[in-house]
Amino acid sequence: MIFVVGAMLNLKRITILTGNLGSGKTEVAINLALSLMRMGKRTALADLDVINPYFRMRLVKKILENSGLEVVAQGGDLAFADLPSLSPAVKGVIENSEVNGVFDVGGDDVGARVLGIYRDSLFKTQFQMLFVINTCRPFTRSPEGIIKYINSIQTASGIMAGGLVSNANLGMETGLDTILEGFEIVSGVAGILKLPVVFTVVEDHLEKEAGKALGGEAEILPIHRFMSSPWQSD
Amino acid sequence: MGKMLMKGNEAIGEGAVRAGCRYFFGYPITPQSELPHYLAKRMPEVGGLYLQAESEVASINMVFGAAGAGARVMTSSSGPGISLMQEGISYLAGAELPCVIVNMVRGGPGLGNIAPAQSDYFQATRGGGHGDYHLIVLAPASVQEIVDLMQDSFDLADKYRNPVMLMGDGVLGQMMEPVDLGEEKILSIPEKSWAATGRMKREKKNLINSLYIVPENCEVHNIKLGEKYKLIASGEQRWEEYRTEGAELIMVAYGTAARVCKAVADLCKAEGMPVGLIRPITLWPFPGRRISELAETAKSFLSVEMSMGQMVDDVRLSVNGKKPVHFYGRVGGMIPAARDVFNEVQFILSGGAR
Repeated sequence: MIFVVGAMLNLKRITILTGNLGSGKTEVAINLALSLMRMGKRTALADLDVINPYFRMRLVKKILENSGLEVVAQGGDLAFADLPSLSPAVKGVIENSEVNGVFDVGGDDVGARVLGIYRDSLFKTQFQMLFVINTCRPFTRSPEGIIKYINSIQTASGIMAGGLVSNANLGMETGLDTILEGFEIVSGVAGILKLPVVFTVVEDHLEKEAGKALGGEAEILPIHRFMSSPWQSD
Repeated sequence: MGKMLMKGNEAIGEGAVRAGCRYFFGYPITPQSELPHYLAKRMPEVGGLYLQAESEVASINMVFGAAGAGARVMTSSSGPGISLMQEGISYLAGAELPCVIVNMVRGGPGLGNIAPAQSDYFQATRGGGHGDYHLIVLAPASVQEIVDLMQDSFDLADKYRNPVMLMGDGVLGQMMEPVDLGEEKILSIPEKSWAATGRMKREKKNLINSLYIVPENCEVHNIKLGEKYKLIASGEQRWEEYRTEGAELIMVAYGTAARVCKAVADLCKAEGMPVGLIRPITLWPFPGRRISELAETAKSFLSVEMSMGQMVDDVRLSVNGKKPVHFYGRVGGMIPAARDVFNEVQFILSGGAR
């Protein structure tokens, strides 16, 4: 499948995904990077999550690399360590103008703090920091909660958010209504903060329905889930 | 309110708040750190107190103080931290103080790793600390069940004036599932006439204590505790059964391992193999009565654990030699794969032919 999403054509070279804990940044990052790659862009996906050692990108590194992505993540034995360590190759992605980068940052303000290390080099290149929102998660169900989170992440990283990503979902129980209700809340926040909703995340099997329901209002990023529970894999 | 997508660790926190817990003392350790992280935000919203102690030893003694004053109180940790707490847990049991202790088990022994495990079963169900005592131990298998069991944990703790342990592992703590939190209930927390809340012109002082210098008195105390444990053991066994009707082989598994075994039972069903699952929800008291009944009809049992074989002892005690009891385990942070357990089941059913 080849997805060509309008919004992605306008993305700057480096896309940094932040959000609260469990907002779905990793799934969004993986799928965004795959979409960019399928558009023919050389793309590196970087794991900057130093706070959560479970369900993170480095666990599916092999699968992603086999599909052609460059994956920048702490490897070897350190993939299983509870250490706040980052791959030295992250800096390389920022400085190499040939490559598009998608950065998956750890959750909350504590996770976003790592961006401080890269702040100076980021400001020398083209990048945007997007804030991923799942309105079905605790603390980000209302515009007030979401804005509080965005502020705390902007403060911790020293970077202003350049756009929002609506990722409303209830995991396996996500329905069209979940996506539409979430989009409405996120759009409300976008209006208050004067930021664009850069794209709305939709599980691939709901893509058509969601596209119809949202009309021309929203850019859609169809996603396929990579993080699964141990009993879901055979 | 609609459903919410929650991590197991967050669900423990929210479940506790909804059960009326207003005091949390803890010290961070992977894989349960999202729980203190959640409560640090949530407790101030409900006028509760979140406090990060300087160590697990301090946390458990803070729990002792709050419980002694009659508060609904909780702490949480994982393997190494729970080991540090054992002295305090024994004191809590000795002083008959209700509280909830969460153990999101990780790979051990020693520092081990942060991956999911079930190797703290003995420590949880046999006492763990010194002296003759038991914790009530609950083992949820889904994020929704975590929310539901938190209310029960605090209720059981108060009902029996006994510490309750909620046991999970990193996968349960970290995974996200949709949960229905329901309407907030009006809580009926029983009055604690024994709590140390001031003399209030009562005739007798309320003392919170586990010191009995005179052996005769300490014996009386131990016998009283023993009677209480008997009551709990007979009245509070909980379990879930899945495809056990007509099953020739019954798997016994709890928590994450039970989720895997449910998938195995479905695989078996598809292959026409009579295989069921009994999932203990209380690890202590162990649902031995039901397993003993099932031993009349089933031909064999298979205990599936993320340990070298701990709960299998309780399965054997319950089956009491009536039928063979087999064991399958993965350890050190590894999770049994459904296909491997299925192969083991096939091996047993075929009488030992691979």
